[in-house]
This record gives sequence, C-alpha cells and structure tokens, in this order.
Amino acid sequence: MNTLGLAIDTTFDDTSVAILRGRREVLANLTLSQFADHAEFGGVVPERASRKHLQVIHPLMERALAEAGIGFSSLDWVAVSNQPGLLGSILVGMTVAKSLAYLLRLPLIGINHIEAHPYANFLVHGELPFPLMHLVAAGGHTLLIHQEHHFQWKIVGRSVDDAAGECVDKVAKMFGHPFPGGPVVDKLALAHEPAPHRFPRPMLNGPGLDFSFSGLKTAMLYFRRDNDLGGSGGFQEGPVIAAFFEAVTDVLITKTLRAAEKYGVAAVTVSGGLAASIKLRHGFEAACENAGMTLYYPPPALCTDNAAMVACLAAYRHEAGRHDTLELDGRANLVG
Amino acid sequence: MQIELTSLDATRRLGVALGCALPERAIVLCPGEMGSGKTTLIKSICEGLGVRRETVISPTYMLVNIYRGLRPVYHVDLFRLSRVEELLEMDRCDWINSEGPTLIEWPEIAMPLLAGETALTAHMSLVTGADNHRMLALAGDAEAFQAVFTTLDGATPAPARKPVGTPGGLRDKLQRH
Amino acid sequence: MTPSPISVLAIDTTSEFLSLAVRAGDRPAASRYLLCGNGTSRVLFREIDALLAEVGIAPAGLELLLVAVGPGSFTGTRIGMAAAATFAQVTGRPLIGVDTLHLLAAQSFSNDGSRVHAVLNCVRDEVYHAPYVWRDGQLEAEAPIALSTIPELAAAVGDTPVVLRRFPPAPPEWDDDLARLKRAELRSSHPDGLLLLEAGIARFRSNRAGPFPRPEPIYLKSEAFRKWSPAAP
Repeated sequence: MNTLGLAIDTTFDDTSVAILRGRREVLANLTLSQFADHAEFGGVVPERASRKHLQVIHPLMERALAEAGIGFSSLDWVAVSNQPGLLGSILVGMTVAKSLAYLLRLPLIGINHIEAHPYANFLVHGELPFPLMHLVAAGGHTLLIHQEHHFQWKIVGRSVDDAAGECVDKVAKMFGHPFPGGPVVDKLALAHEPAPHRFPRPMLNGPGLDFSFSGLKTAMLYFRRDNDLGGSGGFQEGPVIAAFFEAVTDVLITKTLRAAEKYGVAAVTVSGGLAASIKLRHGFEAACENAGMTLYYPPPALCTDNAAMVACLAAYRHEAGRHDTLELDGRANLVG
Repeated sequence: MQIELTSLDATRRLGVALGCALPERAIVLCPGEMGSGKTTLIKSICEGLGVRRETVISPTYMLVNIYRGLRPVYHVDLFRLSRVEELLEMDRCDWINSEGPTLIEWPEIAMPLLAGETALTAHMSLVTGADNHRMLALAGDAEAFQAVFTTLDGATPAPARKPVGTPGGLRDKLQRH
Repeated sequence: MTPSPISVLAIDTTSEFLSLAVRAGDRPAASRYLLCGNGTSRVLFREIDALLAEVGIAPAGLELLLVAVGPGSFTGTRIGMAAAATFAQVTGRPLIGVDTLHLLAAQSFSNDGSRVHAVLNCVRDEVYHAPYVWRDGQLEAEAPIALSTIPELAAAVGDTPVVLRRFPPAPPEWDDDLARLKRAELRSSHPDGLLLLEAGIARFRSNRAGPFPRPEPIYLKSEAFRKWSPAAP
C-alpha cells in the first residue's frame, strides 16, 4: 500500500516538512533551521520561534510538494507533531496540518515527537526486530524507551535534571564556544586523548535507569574556575573537553546497555541531536559489539529534528487506522 | 531570613516546606550561580506544590516548563535571554502563571518587568569549604509571604558567613567569552 | 453597478473570542462569536465546518479568505493566520488581512464624515490607538497606530468618541481615566466577523486586479511596530 503522506514538525526551533511514499520512500524532507537567527541569544526564544514557523511553513510546503513532484490533491494523509515542545510553535504546525486535513478531507495523525525519533532508524534500516531499547538524546530530553511493538512503548529512564545535550551545550559555553556546543565538543573529543582527570559519572552506579547531568555540569564549572587552562603545566582545553565528553558517553552507553539487558532486549537504537556525535557512535559500536547487541544508528541528517521520521511513524499509524480528530490538542510536556 | 543548609537532605526538606507554604499565585525568584543548589531547591519546592519530583527538569531549552501540581506550576529559566526585550515579545501569560505559582531561575533580566509584583526571592549560594553546604537567603513582603516566614522560622538560623561568588557573576563571566 | 457577489470566509482569532463569518454568493452572511480562551485550535475547524454547512457551501467553493492580523494575543493571532494562509494556499484564492484597530473602529456607525478613535490595551501600562474617519461607507485611517500612556491618550483623543477594547488583565487603576473618554455609539457590541467580512470585501473590490500582498501578523511589542502603519483602505 503506497500511500502518500505529508508530515509537519514545528515542535522546537526547526520548521520541517516531509513527504513520504509508503513507509520509507522519502520524496522530500526539508528543514529550515533557526539557529542562525537565534545564535545571538544562545538558543531559541519561544516567541521568535513561533513567528518564524508561521513565516516559513507555507513556502516550505510549496517547495516540498515541488520536490516530490506532487500536488496537495495526491495526498492520502497528513501528520503533525503535537507534543512535546514549545506550545506556541506546535500550534502553528498543528493548525496548518488541521487546515490541510479539513480542506482535503484527509485523515489527521498527531505524532509524539519523541516516539518519532527512533523511526529515523526505520527509515534507513527497514523493519527493525522488536523488542527494542531506544536511547533518544534530543534537545532537552535524554530518554530510554523500551518498545515492544509499534505504538507500544514506555519510557524506562529519563534525565531527572539537565539532559545530556543541554549539559554539553552549557559546558561548551563555559569554555567559550557558541551554541549549540555538540559539534565543537565532538570535534575536540575526537582530536584529543582525554586528560587523566576523571570527571563524575552521575548515577552510573545507582540501580535505576534515570540520568542526571547537572552534577557533571557543576563539576566542570568548578574545574574551569579552579584551573588555568592553556597555561604552562596546566590543563589543555582539548584533553579536558575529551575527558568531559568521555564521562557523558560513558553514562549514556552504559545505561543504555544496562537497560537493554534488564528488559531482555537484543537490539538498541540511538537517535536525537546528540546521536550525530561521531565519538558517541564509535563508543556505542564498540560497546555493542562487546555485548553482542545489534546497534542501529541513523545518518547524521536524520538525527536532528526532521519531519521524515515523523512521517515514517505516521505511515505505520495510518496503516493501523490510528487517526486523530480535528480537535487534536497540542501538549508542551512529555507524557509517558 | 538566612537559612543554613548543611546537606542535600536539609535543602530538600526546606524546599518542600517552602512549597507547601507558598501563596496561591506566588512568584518566586531563584537567583544563584550554576551549582549553587537551585535544581535541588526548585525540585523540592515543586514537590511541596504537589508536583512529582521526577517530572521537574531543566527548562533551559523550553524557557518555561509547566507542571501539573495541586495547581499548574510554571518553572521558568531565563539563562539564555540576554535582553529584556526578548521577554517583552512574549505574551506575559506565557511565562507568568495566572492560575498558580511561578518559579524563575536566572530572574535578573526580568526585573524591570516584575517591578510591581510581590515576589519572594530565594537566593542560594555556596558556602566555602564543604560539599553540599549552602546558604539560602529569603526575602520578600512580610505580609504576603507570612506563611512562608512563619513556617521556616523553625529552621536553624544561620550565622553570617561569606558566600562564594556574587549573583550573576558567573553569567557575566560566561558572556565575556 | 453592483459587483457580483462572491463566497468569502472571515477568521478572527486575535482575542479569547473566536469570531467567524461566511458569505456564500448572494445568500445572507452567517457568523459565529464564541469564547474559547486557549481552546481556539481545538474548536476552530468544527466551527468553520458548521458555519459553511449553515450557508451551504463547500470549502473548495470559497473565493476569498479574510483574516484578522492583530494586534492581539500573539499565539491566537497565529492560529487564525496559519489556518487562513493554508486555506488560501490549497484553494489558490486570495487572502486579505485586516488589523484589529480597524475592526474596532468598524464597530461604530458609518455616518459620513464621523470620526472615531480605536483604543486597545496591551498588558503593560500602555495602549495602542489610532484615529479613523468614515467616508463613503469606508473607514480611513487618519494616522498610524500610536503607543501611549493613558494621560497621553486622553490628550490625543480630545473629544473624539472612542471604541475601547480591553484584554485581560487590564490594570484597574485605568478605570477612572478611561471612564472620562467619550464613547462612540456602536452598531456592533463586539468585533463581529461580519465587520471583518465587510472591511475585507471592500479592500478586495478596491483592488480587483491584485496581487494581494501576503498579510503579516502585527506583533505590537516588536520592532516591527515602529515601522508599521495601517494600510490605506
């Protein structure tokens, strides 16, 4: 059944539209990033993000349709991320999607953005063997999700304070790097051997599957304050950042594999913005090989927010007849 | 009112008590450096307001987290803002709760907009020399926050001691880079 | 010669009220006005559908889309604009925006030559206002929108009657000052979708050939405000 669907994601700072044929033939996947606009603020100001979404969403749909070589009338379904994220931003994408569904008499599918992240892996790797353990490290979230089948998933671990990506961004800022800090930190971590200093791995030895990165951030702050970086005999930035990022990846990898073991799962996936880190990917590859687990990783372009992953999950939802009404609500917080 | 908090547990208990005693639509300003214990304090205040502790996470990315407690609780973090104009561009109801309490981290930038408000300031700072040793300075209208001050009066009064750093000091440092 | 009637949908979501109006050809127009607070997105399509059914027209039959572009609630304004712009994109029909102060002024009686001052509070201690005059059944803006304190407003308004709209929470200390302003007699007690219909169709007719510039939302607290002034009718 090769249906044609259009998906919209405006949950955070990126405006994204994708057009999908069947379950994974991406005919268009266009994302307009707002980072250039927000750089001076060190991130997204919600009101600005909402304004930008409204400004660009219609031209972006136009381009996506042109790229896919179809018109509105060819569509079979419309999907939109309705949670979690910035409510004002979600409302822009959701209203556009509802308008399309209403005018074209199409089924509307509301998607949980977090549930959609692992579907970046379904897009490129085909059907994945359930059950799966997903690590989703995206923006303000660090989550472990146990999925037994499509639509059957449960959050089994989450950041109880700062998310991993947030910790990386804040530490990068402490060292004078621009937002977002992920790419810089990854580059430094790849280029340098970690300094001998061992930074804390918060909650690594605890029994639970939750994450905490606030303590590591504080440790880095004190380290930065108390040590002269780059001075003779002092610490060099590269190795210190490498040691810091080693602490982050250590926690993420160890907890993910521990969760997989605990739930008797043989395959793990990694997705979300932080999954674009090559250092983290190398770490996961080594650890999974060691543990005899199958690892699924999306290409970097599908790690960050994009509507193609939303479309992929929506295609499964459409096949299963799981549609929503035009009274669909947006939700800022993650429920689960 | 100065309260000395010698352990994480003491911060927790105090935060919960503070949350329980807050007036319905209280605005609580939480200045303090990174690592000064704001996270623990705010999680505990939220707990006192009927929010599940583990749902309280950093709002740095979202700017505002809204939790379901006895009443909705707004948890605001203005760390990323650099100008008051950025806040002016938001609908006020998007960051000041009209149905329940509002807790604001890094509130300095919002001060011009909060001039007329009755707010409680809960300033956490590090005490030199010991881990998890914090000082909480509480200030606010004695009448509006009477319940808070009465409840917390039983807490150990703290001797004056020099806290580490100054409010906003770190922020300035970071922004110079 | 009377221009041939067209089918039009008007959407105003700039306040806590949802205001809709539709006209299908030469049939009488129909409208809705309901309080929906934060729930606009939930009820919008149900209400549009009911209204279109009431006048017996399919969405594809619409020939013109009208939308209120603010100032008002930022999020609310965006909902109406996102919907109207999508309708226009899918149907390929023109979209025309009308600002809130114009719609406020349009609540007054259209006696030729009569002046009216539209006043809208924002949540801080200032108001936005602009003077209008009725000419040949059309409202004309006499000056750009201004941002003023209440005493400044009183000076600017003089004895011109005002149409006042207050979004909650309006500071109560304004009550006395505002009570002193002379109120305009109103033909409509609220910003009716029918007024948007009237104003939008008038703009459409005065510029038949088009093209119609894409309406932009008005965020009065932003830099854009300083550059923005009401479009000539």
